[in-house]
Amino acid sequence: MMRFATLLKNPADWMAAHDEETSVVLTSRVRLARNLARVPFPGWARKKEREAVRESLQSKLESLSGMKDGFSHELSDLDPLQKQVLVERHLISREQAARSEGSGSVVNRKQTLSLMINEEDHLRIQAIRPSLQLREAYKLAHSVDRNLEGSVEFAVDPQLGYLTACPTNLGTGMRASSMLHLPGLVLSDQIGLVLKGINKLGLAVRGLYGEGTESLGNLYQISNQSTLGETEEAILDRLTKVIGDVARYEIQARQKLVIEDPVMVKDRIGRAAGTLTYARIITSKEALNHLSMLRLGADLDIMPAELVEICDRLFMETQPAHLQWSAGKKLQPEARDILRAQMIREHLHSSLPPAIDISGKEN
Amino acid sequence: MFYTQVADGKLKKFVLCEACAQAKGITNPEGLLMAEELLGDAPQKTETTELAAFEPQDKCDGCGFTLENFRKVGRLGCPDCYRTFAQEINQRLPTMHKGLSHTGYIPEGLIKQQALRHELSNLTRQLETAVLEENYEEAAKIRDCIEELEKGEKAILS
Repeated sequence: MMRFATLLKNPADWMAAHDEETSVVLTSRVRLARNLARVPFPGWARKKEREAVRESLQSKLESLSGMKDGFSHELSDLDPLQKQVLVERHLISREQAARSEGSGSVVNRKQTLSLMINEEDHLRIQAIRPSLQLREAYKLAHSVDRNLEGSVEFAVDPQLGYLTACPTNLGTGMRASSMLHLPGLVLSDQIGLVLKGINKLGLAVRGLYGEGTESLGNLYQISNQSTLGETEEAILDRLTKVIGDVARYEIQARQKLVIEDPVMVKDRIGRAAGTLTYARIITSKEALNHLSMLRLGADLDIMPAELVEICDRLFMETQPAHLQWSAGKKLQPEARDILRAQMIREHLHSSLPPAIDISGKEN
Repeated sequence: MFYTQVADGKLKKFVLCEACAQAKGITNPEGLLMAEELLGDAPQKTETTELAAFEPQDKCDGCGFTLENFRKVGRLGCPDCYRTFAQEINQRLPTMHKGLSHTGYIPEGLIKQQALRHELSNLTRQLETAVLEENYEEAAKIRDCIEELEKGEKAILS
């Protein structure tokens, strides 16, 4: 079994992919909610029942062919920082991290599959792919689903489909979402209109960490809301179409900005580069917003192209728990802000060396 | 829709799509009885006993979760709660979803297995009634049906 440290040392396979395709749509995720027939849902089950579910599921999940040499842990064995790191990597949910007794997490080596035991449902199968690849992500998640069918009796109803703890997930139990980087639509003040349009189509838009989170770094998640009454394919087709449209609007908005307001665009990108290369103290919110501008600069060929990948890595690694994990200890917010600024400068150094070295004796 | 008829110790199974079921009027209890008349000898009383389970109930037999709990948290206690609180849930579904019935992937084997289990528990109840009424001829027929179904269940499971 893979250790926690090894899991973190390796960037997920979907974090490393970069091309034209990932310029707007960073990742696509599909999660399937499944429950065991006749067993109380985790939120209502007794501790003993939750334990029994975890034990029986965890060993079955570990022995799946795609999960060999993966990461598998009972969440109560991990400390709060480790759990927070997994949340930041989208490998477990915030809810699961908070209520970890009898919960488990099984992740494959490439981190493309994350199986959560006793979250809101007994089992959540999540697949992550880079760029707009919702159908591929579904295929991956569904293959796990089918592999388990022989040994696990899932709760299904001929009329209602898969039965879930919350009726909002009923039917397919499928939530598909993509993470989009939309600085062009934000800078051109079109984002409000686009988000409204997406909502009108019955799709949900959220910030970086799902429900109830604000948008940071111009990152938005678009997902389906309805899970009952349509086939998986119909849901995925509609989402793929809408997300593809939004990505095209974003590209158009960027091109328009460069033509109509080049000074403003370069000002924002330049300021971001200045702040990130010289700052000594930077909060996670400020970092995300500047990294977003820097990434835009790289996508527009105003900044070196390799910065796209570096920015995406920094999006992840400058988050509080990742930062503390790399420091090897718990840090107060002030200390984190200093370490974050330092980490960003180090990562940007080869592509954006500062004109003047102001470090002196400090580092 | 799965529809099973037991007559003369023989089992007849019908699988009707929703539209057909609606056309034949098999979506409501009275319609169901009507359909049985249309299809031949109706098994007595089974549907009415079955329907008792669908009457509004404020506590789930399976897990003890209450209707009040559901109203408070919007989540359910166990998969069986979907039956117990069907009325309340059905009222809410239109605001959550595009449709009211699942059209996506479903593990066929599992559905068949569940339908079989459902029929078995119906037949067991019928058998008890027949024995109580000392209707041994009927009881024997039902027993044969049960045996046949159990064989079928084993075939699905193996």
